[in-house]
Amino acid sequence: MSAYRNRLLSLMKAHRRLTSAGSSRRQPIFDVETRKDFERRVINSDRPVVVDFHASWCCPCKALAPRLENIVSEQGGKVRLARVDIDEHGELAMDYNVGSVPSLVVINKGKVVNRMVGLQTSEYIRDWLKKVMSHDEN
Amino acid sequence: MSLHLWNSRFSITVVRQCSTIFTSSSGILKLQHTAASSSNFGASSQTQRREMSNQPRGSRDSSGSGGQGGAGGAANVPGFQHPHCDRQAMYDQPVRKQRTKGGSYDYDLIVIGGGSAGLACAKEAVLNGARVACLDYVKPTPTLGTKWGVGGTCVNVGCIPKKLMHQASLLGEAVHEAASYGWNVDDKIKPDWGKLVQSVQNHIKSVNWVTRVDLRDKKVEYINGLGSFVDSHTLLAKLKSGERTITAQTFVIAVGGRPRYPDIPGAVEYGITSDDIFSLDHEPGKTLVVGAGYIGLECAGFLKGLGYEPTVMVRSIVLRGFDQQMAELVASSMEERGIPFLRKTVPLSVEKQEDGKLLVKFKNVETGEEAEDTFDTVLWAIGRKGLVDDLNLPNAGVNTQKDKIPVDSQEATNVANIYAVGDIIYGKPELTPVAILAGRLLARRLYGGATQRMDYADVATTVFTPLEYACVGLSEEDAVKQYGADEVEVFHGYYKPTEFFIPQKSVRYCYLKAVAERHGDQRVYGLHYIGPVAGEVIQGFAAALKSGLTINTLINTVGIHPTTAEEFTRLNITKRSGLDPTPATCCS
Repeated sequence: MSAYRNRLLSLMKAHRRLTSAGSSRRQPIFDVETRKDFERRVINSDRPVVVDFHASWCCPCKALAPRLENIVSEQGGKVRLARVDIDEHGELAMDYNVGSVPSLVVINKGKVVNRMVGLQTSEYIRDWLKKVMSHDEN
Repeated sequence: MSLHLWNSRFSITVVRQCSTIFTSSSGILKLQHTAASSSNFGASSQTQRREMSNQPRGSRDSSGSGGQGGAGGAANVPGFQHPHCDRQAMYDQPVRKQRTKGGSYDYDLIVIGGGSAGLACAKEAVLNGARVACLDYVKPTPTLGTKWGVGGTCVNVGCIPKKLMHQASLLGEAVHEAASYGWNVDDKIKPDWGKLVQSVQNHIKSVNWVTRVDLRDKKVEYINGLGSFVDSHTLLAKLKSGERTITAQTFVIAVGGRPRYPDIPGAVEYGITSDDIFSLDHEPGKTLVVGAGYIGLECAGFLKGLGYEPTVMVRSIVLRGFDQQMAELVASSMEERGIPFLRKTVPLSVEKQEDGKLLVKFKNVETGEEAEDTFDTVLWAIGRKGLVDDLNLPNAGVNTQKDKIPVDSQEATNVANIYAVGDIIYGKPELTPVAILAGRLLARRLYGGATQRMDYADVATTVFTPLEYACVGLSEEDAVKQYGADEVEVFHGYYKPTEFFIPQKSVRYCYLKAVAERHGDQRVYGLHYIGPVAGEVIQGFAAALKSGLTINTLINTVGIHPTTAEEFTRLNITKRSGLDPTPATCCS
């Protein structure tokens, strides 16, 4: 059963690679432009995506951004980072129940697998992400 | 634990100032207290007042629901009758029992307008079990296309950005004063307009967001669309994505107002308003502020404080509706700071010159003399207009008066299922706290079985000019009009704020007065104060005035020294006495 699923997934992956718009799709860190963009690059992503709901007026968000970029980069492509400006994509933020910023939501295979609210230290985020990833592998 | 603290300190949480509207748990207590207290209303006014003040906090409703006791007539009316709130007439009319829920409509209630009044009403209605939608839509300004998010005038283009820019201007002043207090300050401090606007707009955006989250949490359906009536139960909402027809049992119109433009050439093309100034992407420079209402004076005040050169153009009087002695003192204090006032003057035209500057031609209405001057910015502050036009009110049969909607003491329009609150209603103070309270009380009457109505009398307010002016109750001229000059006593005095001495700031316009009954109890009709932090000074006195403050109570209240608010407790010179109201020393 699982072998079948894996084969299917890899087939789908290959298919997507063929039809994708270009290299931009596989960037590990990106800003979400539209709702469609979110569907394509986050919901339908082949690997977990950390969605960073942030706002231009939010100072903790600004402090969190570089830490997050570093930590995601360390993952060597196992996880992507999608940034969502809540003023531009209010509906999206509402849909994901974002009440405070910064809010991190990890989405894997279209489903929310973990969340984190507020500014945290790099160590904390690294541990948190590690747990999320290991949980995901099981 | 430490991580937890870290977390809570550095996330922007939902608990945030004015957009977080109060909730109340007193709903169940109300009817009982109403019944209990209505039997007391036959007593003399003195005891009644005491009894009311002894009631538990939860019974706030009861003081306003005396007329509901059933017997009717004057004996049922609450004893404390402030002169300009005709509570008796208000409560002679019973609360209308109108079906407000159910039926085959999409919603129980549709609130049109997502400002202070609309949001408060919508949230309170949901809390009382109604199914509610709230429409909000902002038309871009005609000159610069400025638009904003949910929350209405106060949050986006009113009280909030105004207070922040006023604060910016006061801080500049404080830096200059700091030198005399021993701080080593660079002589040349300069404001960064771009940074100020960015900071102000960031704050506004955060409030917009919190408002949005609050609506979601409180289960109000937010519709970003412009509503117009099809009939008295049907609304057409124009959305970005098209049109949508929605129906409701009850409607609350809370669309508010927007600044007016004068009908002269170039007004719309080149002039801006308070809708644009707080997000202006360039320095305003030399600015002509047309209009001397509170908006005009406040804008001129903070522009001056930020180092721009404003001029105020006044057609007739300054701060219409306010006590005119105080209004003239405010104007004089601004002139002393170097803001020129062009009196009895109206603008004729605005043209753009080749160098980009605006050439304004204007005329003195008394002498007929015409003149012109050039400015970088022209700001219209000639008044605000109710947004009735887009609502298609004739379809619903709702009457209007000029550009406002007249309502009765229950905020009902002439159409039984349509109400109006906030700046759109005719003849009531256009103030955020008034709108919030009126909207909330309306929702409680509609869905919570409450009977309390909004009392629009004795609302305190503040004009945030460089030297602020705050007041509550009647102006001197209104008191004289109502009671006759022989029956009104005015206690007044100039004072010197302690902190003004060291930087040698002008104390020339620091003045206050109490307008009171001349004989008997000497009930205070109105309090007026010009000086620093005027709003903070008057707010507490407003509660005292609402509780029936007398001169005797006022002068037997021990002051807090050294403050400026204590000056109210030291009032002892009447205008009638002709004695000099200027103080001799600071602590006599």
